[in-house]
Amino acid sequence: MKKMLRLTGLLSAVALTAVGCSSGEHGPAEEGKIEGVVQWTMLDYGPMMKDWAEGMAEAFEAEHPGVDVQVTLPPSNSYQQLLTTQVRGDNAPDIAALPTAWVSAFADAGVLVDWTEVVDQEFLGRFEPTLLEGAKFDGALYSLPYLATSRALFWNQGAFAAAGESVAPATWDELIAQGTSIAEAGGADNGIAMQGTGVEAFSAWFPYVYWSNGGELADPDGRLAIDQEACIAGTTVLQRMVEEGVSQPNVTATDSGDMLSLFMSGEAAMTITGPWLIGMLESEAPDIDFAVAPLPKGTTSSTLNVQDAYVLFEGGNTAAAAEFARFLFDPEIADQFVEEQGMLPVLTEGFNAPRYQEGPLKAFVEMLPTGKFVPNDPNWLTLSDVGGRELQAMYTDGKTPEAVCAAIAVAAGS
Amino acid sequence: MGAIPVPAVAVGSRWRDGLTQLAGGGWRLYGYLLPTALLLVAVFAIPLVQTVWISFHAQKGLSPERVWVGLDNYRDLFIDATFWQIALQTIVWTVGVVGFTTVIAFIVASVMQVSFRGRAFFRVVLLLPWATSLALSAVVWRFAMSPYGLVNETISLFGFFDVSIAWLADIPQAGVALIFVGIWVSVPATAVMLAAAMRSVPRELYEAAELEGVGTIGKSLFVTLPLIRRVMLTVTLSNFVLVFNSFPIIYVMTGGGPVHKTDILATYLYRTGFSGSFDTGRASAIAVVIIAVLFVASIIYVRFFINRTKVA
Repeated sequence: MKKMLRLTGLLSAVALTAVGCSSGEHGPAEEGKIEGVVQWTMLDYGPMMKDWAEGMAEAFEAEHPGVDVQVTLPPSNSYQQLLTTQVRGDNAPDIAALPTAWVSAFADAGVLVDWTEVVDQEFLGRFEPTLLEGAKFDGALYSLPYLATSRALFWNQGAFAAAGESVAPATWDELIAQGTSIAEAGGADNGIAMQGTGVEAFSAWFPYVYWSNGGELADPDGRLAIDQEACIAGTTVLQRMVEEGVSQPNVTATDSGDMLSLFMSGEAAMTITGPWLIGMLESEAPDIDFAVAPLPKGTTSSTLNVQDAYVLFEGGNTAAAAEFARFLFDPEIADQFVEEQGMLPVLTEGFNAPRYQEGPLKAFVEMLPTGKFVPNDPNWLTLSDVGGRELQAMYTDGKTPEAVCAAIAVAAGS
Repeated sequence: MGAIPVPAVAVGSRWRDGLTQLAGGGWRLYGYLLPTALLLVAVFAIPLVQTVWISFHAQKGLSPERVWVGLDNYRDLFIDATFWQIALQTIVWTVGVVGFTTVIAFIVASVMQVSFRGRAFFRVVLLLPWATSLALSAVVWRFAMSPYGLVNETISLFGFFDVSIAWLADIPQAGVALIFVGIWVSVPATAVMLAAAMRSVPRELYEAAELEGVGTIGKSLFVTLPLIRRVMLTVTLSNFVLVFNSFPIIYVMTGGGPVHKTDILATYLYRTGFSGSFDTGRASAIAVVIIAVLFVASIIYVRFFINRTKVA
């Protein structure tokens, strides 16, 4: 199977290479000599990644005999630490994948190459403008998104039916009321599965409730800022979910994997996450009768958009790495990749695929334009770290939303 | 092979003897030690010096720039209530795991000396936690301790307590759970070492005790324990250092949370240096404090416990 995958990748890439060469698509990066080692550090999305990445590397090497692409797929838990250590040790890879929320920290350290210096405008014009704009930091394009997601509410229609409910909640108040009634009726043990530990305990769950209550994470000058009124309204929603028993009892010990497991096992009637859960449910929990709905409203509608992107590190084999990136952004390769990962595309033409026009993915595509990205600010990771602990203090120690928001504002410097 | 007798000589005399040995070609002996010494310098001394050096600097985020701040990192650390809270948790964790491990391992090792049906199976089962990686054990226990996991299911079978205890969500239950897992992974190795020491106790002593009418517990307390005391103290010291620095169990099971309540200095160091603000200077200061505490505690322990114990 593995050999088959690699062979398929190789053959399709060779075929694409022939098409690409004949159509003269290559831009400035091709003008320099493409050779040498390209160290490629890639995010690991699952068991198929190794074969896919090695297949891509082999295909590119076949096209460029002087290039040796060395693939590294670090464990996701230590990915950020690995890159940080490599950068500090002046040993960064030539090209790496990372969430755009991390880009600002690397860009601020002056170790990234601006993509506009190595690829042409025609190439950049193929990207969905909203996503490309969301990848910018200080007006420069240090990261090139290769997949995107937004977040939506997954709800278990069977659990809802057990409580006589048939419609997804439209507001946070409705979510709490429905979650309570479902748990009481025995439709599921818990109304909603929440994440209370790990990176997204704050960086995803706080924006869900904060933005939908009218808050913005950056002031007009682009600096991190916390709107106290929206923060208090948002964190009160999270506090109520935990205190009123709508969520699972061990929120502070629940990471993203646990949260998904709770929904997939039917122990939680709802959760909020990205489109990857669709594939997981279809393959591992086909009995769960789920549907996808927009995030509940507070005073307004919003969701979190996230994208993963490629960055080029200064001092590396930039020409070859940029050419390799162009290879990965071939429409067929890019589309096949996002489909396999169950994500959303970044190239505008990718959205034309039928799977984005109907079915559960449609809700994510529709929410993408209303969604927001977390700020590209080097202090975001620090704020996220502090915010995560503050939310935990609210869940376990009864810290008030007012006190939590005051501490978050201090960490944000606002 | 018998032990080499060491004559009681004055310090100055030892130096003279050493120099005489070197002059007589004894330097070759030091040559044999050189590869090990070089390895220790490479993997221990150089990183240690580097860590101390970084602890005198401010280095945050991804910037490779370091700014000399002298003792500021240490001062900030010592006036931080969170640091002292975590230091206290580290002591509770270490004493809890090492203390219970020593007692349980002694009992288990004693049982291993007795012939009974299924002893070989018992030994294999005993070694399983030791043979499993710490991270894997922690992952398994993390699942088992979820509200709908094996632990609550088992408790509910016996009709005890609430069946949906959130073991890892808050203290004190998270602390208890972590110490339990710490003991679970520490007992096998400790028991095996104690069992080996117990086998060196002459059988005649047990027979003499039996003739005096001493029972099983009495033999363990008054024959076995004094004779394996030195091994037990050495194993305890080893466990103390390992548990004090133990990282995988806490990192995997609770990540030190919620709100630092289950952090120990080792996990706090990691979170300080490799998440949030990536404060390498402060993390290095924590590392230096850990090394200093372990060094001083080990010296005191060896001086007052191990060296004062007669050789069995």
